[in-house]
Amino acid sequence: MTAIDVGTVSARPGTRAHELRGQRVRNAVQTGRGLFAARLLAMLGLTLVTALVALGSGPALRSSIVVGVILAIAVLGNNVITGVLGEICLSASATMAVSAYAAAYFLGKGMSVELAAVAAVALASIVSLVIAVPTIRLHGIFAALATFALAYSVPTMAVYLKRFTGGDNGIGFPYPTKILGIDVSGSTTGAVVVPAAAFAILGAASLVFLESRYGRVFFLVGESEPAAEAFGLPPSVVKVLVWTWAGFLGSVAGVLYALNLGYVGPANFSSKLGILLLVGGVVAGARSTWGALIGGVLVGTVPPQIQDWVPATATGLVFGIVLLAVLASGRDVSTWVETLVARILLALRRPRHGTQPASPRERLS
Amino acid sequence: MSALLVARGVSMAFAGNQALDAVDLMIDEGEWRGLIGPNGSGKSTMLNVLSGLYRPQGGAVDLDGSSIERRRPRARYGLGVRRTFQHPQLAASLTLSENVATGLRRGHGLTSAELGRRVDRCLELFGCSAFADRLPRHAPYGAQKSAEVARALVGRPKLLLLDEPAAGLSASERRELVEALRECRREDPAMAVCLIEHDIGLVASLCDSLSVLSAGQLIAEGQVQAVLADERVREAYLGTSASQEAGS
Repeated sequence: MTAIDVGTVSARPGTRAHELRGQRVRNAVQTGRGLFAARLLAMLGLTLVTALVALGSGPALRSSIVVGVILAIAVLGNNVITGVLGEICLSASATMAVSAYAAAYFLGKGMSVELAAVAAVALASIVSLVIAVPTIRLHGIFAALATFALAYSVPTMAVYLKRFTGGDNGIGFPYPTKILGIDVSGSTTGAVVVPAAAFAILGAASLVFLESRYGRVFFLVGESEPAAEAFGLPPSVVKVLVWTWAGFLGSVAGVLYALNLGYVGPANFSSKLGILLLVGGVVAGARSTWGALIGGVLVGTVPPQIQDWVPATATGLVFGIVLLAVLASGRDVSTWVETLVARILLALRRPRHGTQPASPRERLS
Repeated sequence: MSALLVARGVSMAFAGNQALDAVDLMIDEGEWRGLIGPNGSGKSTMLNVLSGLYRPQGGAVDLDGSSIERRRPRARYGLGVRRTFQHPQLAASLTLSENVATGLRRGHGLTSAELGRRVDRCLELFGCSAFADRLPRHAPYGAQKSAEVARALVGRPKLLLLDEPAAGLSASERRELVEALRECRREDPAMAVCLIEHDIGLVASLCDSLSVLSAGQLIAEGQVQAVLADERVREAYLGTSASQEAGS
């Protein structure tokens, strides 16, 4: 094999390097791995555009975009589980709830926002780790049901643990909240910038990890567990790490959500949110970091916004039709977009003279 | 030569069906042992016991004098045991090259460049270089099977367990596989191999000795030609093949 860095080699049409580039583009589109620089730029660029759109919008749209970006962090966590391990996780809302309630509780006790945020994320991540240990023994529909049970029971539990959670009424805390001196409440500029920066940093971290050699072996665990074990990997440890990382991301989203709202109640974290976070991730692309942002916006921004055009009672129906339309196309949003971009790029690089064995469409089919 | 692998009285049953019944197997350092038998005779079960995927219900397995029958597959990996699977178990999201690279860890003391060179060498040896950057689903079945063998060999194992590496390959791919395996033997004469294969010609051309299983029991073992001439083996295994050939 000739090792060619597609980022540095001038791949003239018709050459081996050009063919290799086409192959790598095709692999990247189909697997969600590879083309690290392009993916990083796409993720950072989309985050920046989303933040700019939010900053240029009125308070209502801005607020819903902020919620969308915060939920995108939870979708990012879900995507690691779905994309790497191939399992279905419906408990992201539960993890968000644990960290949000913890943050609200700590803030109510007079803790500083920064300390409360760190403590809440740490607590919820530890809870995720503990829950991951039995969950990884389950597969497929059983793992999905176990996580759904968690998503269903945590808000219910919050109602009964009134002393800590305020029961049905929820709990508030000193508002507006400032983290590192930046106001992150409501639709302030900080409320846009901080979640967007958090998504960019965590998205980049996910991307770096999945592209690394360690990420490579994580894929082996998800796609061929017997081979992973036979080749020296501890599948249980890898799975616990993946679930815990997803829990950490959900915890960050939960804390940001609580700080933005200034109030935490059981209705904010219903099992429906857990389902929507999964749906958003799958529809937007379970293996795409920039797709996670689309997924978060689909779940957090689109439903309240379409209320301007359709009756409030029909928003769920319209949202469902939009999701079904995407699923019916057979491809998630990120795969669809990446395929289109790759076709255009490959078409632009086709040789003008001589023979080319396959058209970009054929190469990507 | 000293005994590298010693399995004594290995027994394994699934829901009352005795897959292995007190099977003994001894493989010396550098020895290539063929493990043959009719379908359902317990060959793959034995390989799974040796690699650690199954824990035997009876008997003992020693590697290099240490008991390993209670050790997990990844612990055996650390002791130099590698295996292939009857049906390729490659990660669908990794290219063939990346799949082969998962056979190596940093623990092998290799730099990234050395690791890359070794992976390239293995892919070249098994004729998969042309498909190195393809995903398994875009590579021919033969290349997938070869990449499995390459992944097992890239870490230079002490004991290599091959589960039907030639199944599904064309005649020319089989010849290439045999040549590649012979080259591996020349490069690493100390490596021991346990080869499961239905192609008796291929087994005979590669192996020094044979063990024959039938209905979970070891019915013969020894030098290749002597075993193939054994009446019980002909009746249990080759006889079946002969009648099938006559029937077809």
